[in-house]
Amino acid sequence: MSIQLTGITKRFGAFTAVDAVDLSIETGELMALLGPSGSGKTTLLRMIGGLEFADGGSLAIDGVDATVEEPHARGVGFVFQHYALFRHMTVFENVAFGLRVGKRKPKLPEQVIADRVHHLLELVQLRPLAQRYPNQLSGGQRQRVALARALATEPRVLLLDEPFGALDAKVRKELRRWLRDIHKGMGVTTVFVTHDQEEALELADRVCILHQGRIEQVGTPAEVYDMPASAFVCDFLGGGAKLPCTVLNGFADIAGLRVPISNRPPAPGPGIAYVRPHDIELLPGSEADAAAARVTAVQPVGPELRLDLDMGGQVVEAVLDRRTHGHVDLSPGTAVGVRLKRANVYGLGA
Amino acid sequence: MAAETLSTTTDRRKAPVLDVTPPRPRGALEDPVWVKALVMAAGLGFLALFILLPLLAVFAEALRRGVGAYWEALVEPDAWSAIVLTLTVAAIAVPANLVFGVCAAWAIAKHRFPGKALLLTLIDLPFSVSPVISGLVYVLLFGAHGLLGPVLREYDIQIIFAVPGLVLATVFITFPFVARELIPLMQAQGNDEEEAAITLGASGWQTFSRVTLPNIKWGLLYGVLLCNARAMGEFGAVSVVSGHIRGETNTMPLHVEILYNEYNFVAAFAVASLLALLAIVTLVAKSLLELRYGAELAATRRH
Repeated sequence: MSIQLTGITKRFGAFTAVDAVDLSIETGELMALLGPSGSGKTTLLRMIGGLEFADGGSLAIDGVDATVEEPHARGVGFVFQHYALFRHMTVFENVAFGLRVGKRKPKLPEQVIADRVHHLLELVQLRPLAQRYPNQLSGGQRQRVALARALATEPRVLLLDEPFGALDAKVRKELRRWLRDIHKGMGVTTVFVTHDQEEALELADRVCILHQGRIEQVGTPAEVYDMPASAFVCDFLGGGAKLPCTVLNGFADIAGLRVPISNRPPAPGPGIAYVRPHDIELLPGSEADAAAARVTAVQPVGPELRLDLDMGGQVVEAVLDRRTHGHVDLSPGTAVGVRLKRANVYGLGA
Repeated sequence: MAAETLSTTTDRRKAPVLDVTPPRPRGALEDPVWVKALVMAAGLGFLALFILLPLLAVFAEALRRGVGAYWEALVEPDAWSAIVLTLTVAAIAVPANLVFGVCAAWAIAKHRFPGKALLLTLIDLPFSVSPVISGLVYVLLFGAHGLLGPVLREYDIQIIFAVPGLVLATVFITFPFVARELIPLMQAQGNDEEEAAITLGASGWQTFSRVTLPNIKWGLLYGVLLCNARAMGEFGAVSVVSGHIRGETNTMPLHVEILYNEYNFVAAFAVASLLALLAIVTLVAKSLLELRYGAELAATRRH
């Protein structure tokens, strides 16, 4: 179901957590709310879920105003960051909770509840653990119970607050893929909050990047990565080295190099350029069209080789493929030539 | 290769140090045996002298003239009425404080509102004020010459020197036990589960009865036990509002005092032994609870 936010504002005392946000989420979409802590992303999610109420603006679900609607009437399922499982209930009872409570008349027959719960536990691959208690489960299992519980009431919108934040890297990756599959299978409109840009880019159909309670950019993962709308977005999405530059007509002058601009070019004048590690090319010694730099540190990380370069006093990070970086000598202290393939450039005012 | 050489040198350098380790390895916080024995003896000796001995003395004195005299002292009409009155007062005060305590703890732990710090301070007031003063406050309020005295007299309502006064004073004194037990527990548990319940469609009452209450039940029981022990044993505040009318407004602790002042030691200690028994039962129940539900109570263990 589609969600339409118009001028949504939320204040906590003197602090404005969410500042006049307009956002529309399409039916069946998987949307990520991405931002650093304090950017208002969780507050925004809680307002969509009805756990907080907006101080200003309006919220419509499926075209119907739901600004002051209670959570359950909105038809949302909420998955909490720390799972919030009912600790005194078994996995089965946790998932069944939403089917037992509320003003349900007549009550659902026990058999219907059992069937539905078992079906959901099958879906999250936890059927054998139905009689366990939450404290007997691992983090990943708890998160899956939380998801099954949220799906039990057949919500129109699924909301997840930092769903994988407290899990280790491997489980996180598995659960991401698995959430993607479930979303595809059920087609439920899903919004999740994360501060992990990789997670947002990997999982979401569209990403909404928040900063200090305002939206910086909304777009597909490719759009926001390739064309960051602001210096903040660029920096947050792994912008790379931040270098002073001069914007000229159609290209940027960085340390004497003529570098193509990949985002929408700002007005000519002084600016800031962000160069991602992958966009740095290394040449042996010094060549005419390359800037001089010195290798200060080398660190092999898995298939990559990470380098710190000293480029005229600026520290620049570069990443090379360990197998194909060629025959350039890269031991610390070596002088190398640097070429910049492209940069995201912003005017100083922005 | 270089790393290996390095590690061998380190080992060789460590070896002589290992040689001088004491024969019996001892942790940094472990003291010599004689220190442990001395500290333990001091602790246990003190306990025996000041707590165990008086407790035994109570029972010894109560049974000095045999079981028959002991029994007679308990079923004697005034003693019996004191026992019934004490149970009545506790039966009213404890449930009242159970409800008020849960309400106050819920309001403080789960909500933000102005005046929260003030409410917390007020809850602690009965702990910090002398019980005698608590009793006097009620006399000043409800006594014949008190603030509300004329009104009460008009409607012929007797509070001071009657059961209602005893109940009020007891409620006041025992109020913090339940609330104080629950506030840290509920604060530690946070609001997450309640929020989850609400998003799943639970009503306010369902959220409370199916999520909040089960999560605090052992802490609650623990608070009620302590509250009950104090309600039955309270002396100071009750003494002020009771008027000491034999067979009518005397609770067990007050009755013990009267008997004692009359040099009726066997009877005094017989009634006292019942109170001591109550204390022992409370302690045993408390220990059993802690043994069984230690983790849940850990956040609240202060008594």
